[in-house]
Amino acid sequence: MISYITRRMLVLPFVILGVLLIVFGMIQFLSVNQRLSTYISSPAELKNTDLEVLAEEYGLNDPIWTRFGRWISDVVQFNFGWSESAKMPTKKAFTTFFPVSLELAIWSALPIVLGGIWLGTLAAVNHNNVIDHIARLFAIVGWSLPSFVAGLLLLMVFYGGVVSWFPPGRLGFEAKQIVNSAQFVRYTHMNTIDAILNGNWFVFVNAVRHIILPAIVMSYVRWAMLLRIMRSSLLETLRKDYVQTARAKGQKEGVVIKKHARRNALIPVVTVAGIYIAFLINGLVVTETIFDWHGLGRWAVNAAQQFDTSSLMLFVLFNGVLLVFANLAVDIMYAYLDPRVTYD
Amino acid sequence: MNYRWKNGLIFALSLTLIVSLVVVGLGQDEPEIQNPNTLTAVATGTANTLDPSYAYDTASGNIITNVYENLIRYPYGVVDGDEKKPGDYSVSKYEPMLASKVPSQENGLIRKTPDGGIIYEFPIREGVTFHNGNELTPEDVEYSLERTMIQDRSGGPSWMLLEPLTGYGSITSLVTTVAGVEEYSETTSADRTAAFKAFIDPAVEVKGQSVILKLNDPYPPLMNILAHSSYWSSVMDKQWVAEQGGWPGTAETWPEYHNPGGGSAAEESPLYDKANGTGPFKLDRWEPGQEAVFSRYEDYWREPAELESFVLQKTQEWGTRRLSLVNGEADIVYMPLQYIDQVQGAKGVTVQTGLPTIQMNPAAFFTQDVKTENNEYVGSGSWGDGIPSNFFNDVKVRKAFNYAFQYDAFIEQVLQGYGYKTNGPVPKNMQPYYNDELEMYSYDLDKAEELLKEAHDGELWAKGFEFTILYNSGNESRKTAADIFEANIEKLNDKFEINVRSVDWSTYLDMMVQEKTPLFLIGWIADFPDPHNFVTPFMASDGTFSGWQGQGMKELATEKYDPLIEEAMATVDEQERKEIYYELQRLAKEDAVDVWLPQAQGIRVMRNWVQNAPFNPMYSDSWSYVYPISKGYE
Amino acid sequence: MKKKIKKLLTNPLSVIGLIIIFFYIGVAVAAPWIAPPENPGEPYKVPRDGWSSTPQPPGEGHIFGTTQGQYDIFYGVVWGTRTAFRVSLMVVGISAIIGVLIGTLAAFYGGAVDSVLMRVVDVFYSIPYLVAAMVLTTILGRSLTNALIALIVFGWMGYARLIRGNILSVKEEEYISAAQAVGATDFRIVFRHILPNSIFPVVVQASMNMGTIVITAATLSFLGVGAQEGYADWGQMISFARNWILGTQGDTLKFWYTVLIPGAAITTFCLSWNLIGDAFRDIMDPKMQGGGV
Repeated sequence: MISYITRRMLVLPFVILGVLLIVFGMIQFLSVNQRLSTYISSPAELKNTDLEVLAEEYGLNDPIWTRFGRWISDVVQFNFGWSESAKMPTKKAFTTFFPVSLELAIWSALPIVLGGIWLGTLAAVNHNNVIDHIARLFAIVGWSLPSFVAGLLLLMVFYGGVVSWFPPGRLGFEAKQIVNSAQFVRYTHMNTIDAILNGNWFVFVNAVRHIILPAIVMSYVRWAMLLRIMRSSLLETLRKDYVQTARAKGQKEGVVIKKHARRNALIPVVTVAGIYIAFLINGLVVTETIFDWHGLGRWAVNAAQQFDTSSLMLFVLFNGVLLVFANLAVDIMYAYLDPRVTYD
Repeated sequence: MNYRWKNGLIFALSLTLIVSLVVVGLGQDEPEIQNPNTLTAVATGTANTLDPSYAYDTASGNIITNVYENLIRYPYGVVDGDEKKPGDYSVSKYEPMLASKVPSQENGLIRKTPDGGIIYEFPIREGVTFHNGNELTPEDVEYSLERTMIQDRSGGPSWMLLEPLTGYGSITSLVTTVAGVEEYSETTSADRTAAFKAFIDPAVEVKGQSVILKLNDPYPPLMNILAHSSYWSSVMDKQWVAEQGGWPGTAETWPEYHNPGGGSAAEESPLYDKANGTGPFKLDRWEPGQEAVFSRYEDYWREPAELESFVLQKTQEWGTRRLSLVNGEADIVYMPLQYIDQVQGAKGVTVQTGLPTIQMNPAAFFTQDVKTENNEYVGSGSWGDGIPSNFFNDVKVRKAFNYAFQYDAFIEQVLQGYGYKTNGPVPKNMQPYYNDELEMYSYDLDKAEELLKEAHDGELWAKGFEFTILYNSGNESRKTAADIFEANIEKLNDKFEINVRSVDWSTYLDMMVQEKTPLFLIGWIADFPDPHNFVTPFMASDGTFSGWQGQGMKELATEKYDPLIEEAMATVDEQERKEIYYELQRLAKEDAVDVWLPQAQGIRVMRNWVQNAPFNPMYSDSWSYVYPISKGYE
Repeated sequence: MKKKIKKLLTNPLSVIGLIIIFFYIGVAVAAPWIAPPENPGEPYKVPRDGWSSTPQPPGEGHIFGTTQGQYDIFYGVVWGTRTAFRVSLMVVGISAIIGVLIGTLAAFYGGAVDSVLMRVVDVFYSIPYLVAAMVLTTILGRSLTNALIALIVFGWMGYARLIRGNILSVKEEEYISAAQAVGATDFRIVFRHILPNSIFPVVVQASMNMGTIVITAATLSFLGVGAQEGYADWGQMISFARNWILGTQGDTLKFWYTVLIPGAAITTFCLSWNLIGDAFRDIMDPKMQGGGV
């Protein structure tokens, strides 16, 4: 196993390189003028600007390998350049937006995984029961509604109408003043956790009120999906021979579920969970836009829209590293769950 | 316990827990945020930088104009509730700000020199302090103007000071011309120092308690360029800027501070994220792309502001902004005109309409001699299933398109009635240079048909054509304008085919610069309120738009418009200039260089407890100048 | 086989799913008659009745009302059905084929092949499809086809991983070793034993994706990528509702039809595929032949 992990880690740099080349490559299909638009954001800025000179200045006419090499050498020195879309250095943009998305991801991940697995189990075990049907209905509704519609509707009900329980944004006005004051220590830049660490109940509650709706929107679709997968794979597993055997042997139902069926049914679930980490960014994009959270998802979209190459590269780099580790974790989980699976 | 029951119980308990969390959440209702001493404005822009010499975007400008001040300012009207108090909205009259008097010919502070130049003398107010406590001196003013000129970052605003004060559009061209070489990189440091001493130094000098600006040639818009809301002319504290690592102010050192970050890395400028001005508010905190927080400057040279603080936040979603407004968390928000129905009649919300604006946004541009090679927007490149390169060269075609636009319908339906026809390119609110009397094109499909039949010796009508109109993505009213052209032109003849496509800015720029866009829609907002700032981009041979409208347009411009544009700048006499601009407008109409689409009136949305929100057409938004604002009920 | 079809037809939920799908197929086929296009050469261009921004409620001439910009909702929903089918069939079909192919190869041959292929999967994973779709459509031009290409190119990995995971498990099952012992060829083993037993989570996934892809396309419209504005696509229709979803001050539900009607189309379309997917699961499980629990 250790050798397997080591082997996978050694391959990591090549994977990253592959990713960067693809993205860099895609962007280079744009013409020089299109890439110049990063530096010229409005017609007014065309004045007195010689486009050719500008292109020379930014080295846009250099061959692709030169440009890529230049970028790589910058990266190695942790110089990620300037993010035109965020109007700040790319590195700073990343460190600013990352905790925001992380907080959202944490608050939506727990319901997704726990809820999905647990409810899925419940549904499968109570196959064709009332509980099963409720769970399935819930899953289907969650599955069929576009998240941005759900988000806006939720906002409308819980913020627009008579009540203002769950406002958009990350923090209310007063709470924000507190958080930005000198007395409040920013350990993690995640409002909920920092509030706990600072022992400030008011800020905590405020932060939670602001995170509930985005977390729901982020999680319900995946929750629904996970529920269905869990349910279907568990249903399938329950019929497998070794389960019947265990039952025949007289083992208690609970044990059968926990010890045998669940473990094996978790395999596709683990796969799916892995996939969802991959698609986390996509979920973040919509949620962050509607609820006005300035996180990685929104940054990525703005960067893509404005052809902000440096941001896109760092973003993809981050994603690449994250996913390689996530996939590795998934494969290790396979081995753990199914002792018949070996890699050596 | 039975497995099933146990699970069911856990299920029920969890549900209860979730519900109770929600209930607890409600119980903690925040008190209604009125924040009587703080103004919260919500907008959509991201500020690029806080450096007045670097910034060239509205969002940065909004921060800078509240923190910094200029020599002079425009008067502002106060718009309260639904009644406009008829304060002066003028953009050609000035009030003193950091100058104690506004220079004019009457008071002798504007005078001609024997060698044909003009001198502007600004006596500087005493007893003014910067936020860091330093006192304002005339040297600070001299420094600020010179700093902007030498910084001249790519795509930046420095040209607006360089042009009047040195006659050159960029400092690098100044230096290379003085040195007599081709490229800036070929100049030596001796050249650069010499150029500075020959041009920059004498242009701005200190004499006693005054600052003297010396121009070699008349430049009528100079006062506009210096007035407050022209944030590139903000006055900075020389000592403080040098302490931040900025230019010390000497002739020898300026090249090191020129073009920081190549114009694309605003962070490279030492004033990127720091501000120290004389304005009524200090900047407490700036999180780029999120918010800017200001607090009152108690030692302001006028009465300190009523508000203790001011917060400028960013939210991109209209729905979210609207909710913040309606809930009272936000006092002023940015609202695109078409959503006005959604807030009319909302409790506690005021909508102010019919405010004058100074912009040409958008207009429809024709490209004459459009490039047809490798161009998906011109179809086949010849009649029938495409357009030939000279399609728009025939003035009859251009006039026909002018007749094919539904001006009134656009105002009624797209602008909800809050718009007006314009005789372009000089904006309507730029008196006295705007020719109200000029008879413009109107919606007349019969005339359009007639013209198209005659155009290109009948070939156009006989063979038909197909091409694509471009607009940039996400802009609803521009798409509608394109759709209007399409619907009306296609009505005239079965063989006419127009497509409408949205492209993003990068593609747009690419296509425009390559002169591949047959008809495109884009807009222009004033840098400074002088007709020169409009006729140049729209009609000069090297104009921002006209320079890309094809060979045919260039020829027209060089022959007919350039001389007039130059002439209008050679005199400061209002009457003389008015005649010339009238002529330019007439020519624009006669030659049908573009289609002047109806313009939107200004509109502001705020809570009705916001008092004294100042207005001037040069303020890009209601929160451009917060000083006079207070909150309360009358 | 007959048994399977019978099962499909007797399960009440799958019947509902089928009915809905056939309804939509009917609408898609009959589109030119139910909602005649203004310009027969451009049937996917939703007609605009005026230029105003404010949506109009259902009424004369517009059975379902109009969206922002006066696009007829009825027309958009009807022709959007064709778009929905095109989008889902193409994206799901092609990406599933690619994914299954790659995943099977990786799982069966294992070793270096597996490593390399899975690394390729990792590489593609690192580029979130929304971001990729935006970059790709700008390069290629904003159109539905280009958005679909982006979704396919960056969306096949899920199937690959899924089938690989299942195959890895199935590979170890006794009946595989039994088949190998008996001397069955690799090809035979793959097709007759491995694939049928590991494919149905993929089928379930694919059928669920038929619906979700339509939602994904709607998200792309929401972000300003995807079809050109005014194209008959459910996602487009809903994205027009974005700034009207909160109604006016006095009446928060005033523009309900801009959201509800295209939303209902998307939801029911999705729903039906979910139900069918469920039914597939029941049918294709070989252990359930001859009566299930």
